[in-house]
Amino acid sequence: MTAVTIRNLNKHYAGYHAIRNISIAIEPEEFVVLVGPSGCGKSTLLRMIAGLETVSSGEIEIVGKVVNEVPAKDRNIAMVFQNYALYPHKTVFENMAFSLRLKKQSRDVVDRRVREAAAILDLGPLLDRKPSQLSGGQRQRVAMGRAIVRDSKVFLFDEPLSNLDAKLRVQMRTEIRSLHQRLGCTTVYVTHDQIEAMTMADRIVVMNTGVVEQIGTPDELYDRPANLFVAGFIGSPSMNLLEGTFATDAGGLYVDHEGHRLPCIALSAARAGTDVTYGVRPEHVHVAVNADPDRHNATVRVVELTGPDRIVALDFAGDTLIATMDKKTPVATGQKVEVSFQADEAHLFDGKTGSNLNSERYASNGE
Amino acid sequence: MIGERWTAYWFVLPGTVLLAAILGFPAIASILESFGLQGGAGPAGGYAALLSDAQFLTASFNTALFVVCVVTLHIILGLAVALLLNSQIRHLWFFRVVAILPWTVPDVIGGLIFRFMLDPLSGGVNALAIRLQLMQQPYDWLGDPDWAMVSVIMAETWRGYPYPMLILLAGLQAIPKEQYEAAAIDGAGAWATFTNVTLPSLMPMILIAVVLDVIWQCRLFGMIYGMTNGGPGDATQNLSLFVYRQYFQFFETSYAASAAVVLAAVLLAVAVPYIRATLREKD
Repeated sequence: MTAVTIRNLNKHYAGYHAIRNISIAIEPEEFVVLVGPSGCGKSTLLRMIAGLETVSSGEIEIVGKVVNEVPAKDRNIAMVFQNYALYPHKTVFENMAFSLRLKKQSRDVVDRRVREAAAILDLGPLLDRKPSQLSGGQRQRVAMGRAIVRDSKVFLFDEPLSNLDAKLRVQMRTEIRSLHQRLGCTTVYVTHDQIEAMTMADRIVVMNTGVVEQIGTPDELYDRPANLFVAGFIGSPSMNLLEGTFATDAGGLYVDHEGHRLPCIALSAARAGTDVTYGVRPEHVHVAVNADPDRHNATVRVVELTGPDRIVALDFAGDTLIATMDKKTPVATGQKVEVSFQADEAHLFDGKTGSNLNSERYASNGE
Repeated sequence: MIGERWTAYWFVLPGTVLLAAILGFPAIASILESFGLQGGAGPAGGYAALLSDAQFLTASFNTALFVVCVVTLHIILGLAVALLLNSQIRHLWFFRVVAILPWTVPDVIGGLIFRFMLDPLSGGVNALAIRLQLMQQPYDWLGDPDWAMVSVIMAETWRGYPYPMLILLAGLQAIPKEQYEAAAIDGAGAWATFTNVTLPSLMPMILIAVVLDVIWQCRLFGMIYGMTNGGPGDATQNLSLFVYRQYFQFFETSYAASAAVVLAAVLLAVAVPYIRATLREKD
């Protein structure tokens, strides 16, 4: 039995179709991340699962029970909000105990469960403090503690790390992930940060304008994006996308981009003259700094050092091409270089629909 | 640096002088007057006399009773209306305008309106009550000492509630909606949400509304002057009316000033904790 099943879900606001016929099945103990740009409907979907938004049509099932008409408190879920939503006048203990007190649990049960959750999250010494006396990370942990105490089947996180600084965000990412492994609870996590999604998820649901663009593991999304949107959204720096047309010569099929020959694998669906978008990840842009001058086809515009790598922006056939390079390779702004690509590392997207034409190859390779 | 600091003082000088002239001069003049230093009773004589003046003591009691009742009703009614106006009802703007309307009525005019409405011969209240068969004969509400006080309290409750209501509405709108959502997921019903989320989050605003309303109601003059002129007898006479009468009817300027200073001191005692709390928040 799946933990959460969403079937043909729709959400209409006045004159706006926010969620468009979405279906997702989430397995027990799975960590699923909903990711997408602002306004894509990911938070709306999460709030519909929580029972904070009504369903226009379709079904939401939690642990085998359709919950469309079930109030939030009876859905057996726990939710962590972006701004934590702690009760400011209650102590950490009272914040965590509130749901148990409403259920009229005995004093001993409340005390034991709150202290157990506090021990898991290292909140023991902070139980008598008010939220205003806590740091951002501590507040975040209290919000998670409030969720743990409820002993819920499904945990929902709505951009919980957005209010934290970059360093703490990385730390909390690990904490949430290890908490999930420890508690084994099904988790649905919303973020707009694709790095957060890639590092935390068992599976990622990429959303855009109310529709699901692709569902898959982080590897699948990175290596085999279903379409241009996913290709451009997943990965940092994002995939280079060059407009071109299919062409053939004695060497076989290739993509013609402003007179440059971009190698690609043979595709039965490809017709010479049709439009195509040629996608290549920055780590697959091969830059030769010592090539013969007559082979130079790009100019280095900007060089950024990230630590282990260099990110290099190149002027290539009227486009900007991003490449990641080993930081030991000497490269300087204004330098002429030779850029080349490998056919089997390139992604080809239909010029009209944006769908990935390589899917034919994935299928034949059994990927 | 020192030069810069003095430049700053020059900038605040005009405002300081203006405030001193507008606020400081009358205050000091009143205090001097109250000690008879401008040709009245002897030093502190007025204050001693106040303590044994039955009219002053009655006016003090009336003021306390009036303020406690009106402020309590203002907070209850203001909170109830603020909660309604904070909900998702249709044509909200219309109800917001209607709810604020009483605040636009000047207090003397409000007093006169209620005086006409409660008039035993031509007033609408008696006519309506008789038509609804709630009473047989018209009643002189404002001629009965008990009912006069009740009537004044009711009238000021109606006229003055929008002010605390607006403060509380602003407070309600500042409560993050996620707190209500968290409470809903935690299993809180309407009452538990009100007592655990709304009320505690609103407490600072309630305190501000109470302090400001107490100050306002202690000083109230126009409404009572227009409605009962302190009568019947001195049944609805509050301290503001007492001071007014002593000064402008009996020309006991020093005595009136003593009573005014006592009233100002009481108001200051109420206001100081509020001002300190406000300043502490800014720090």
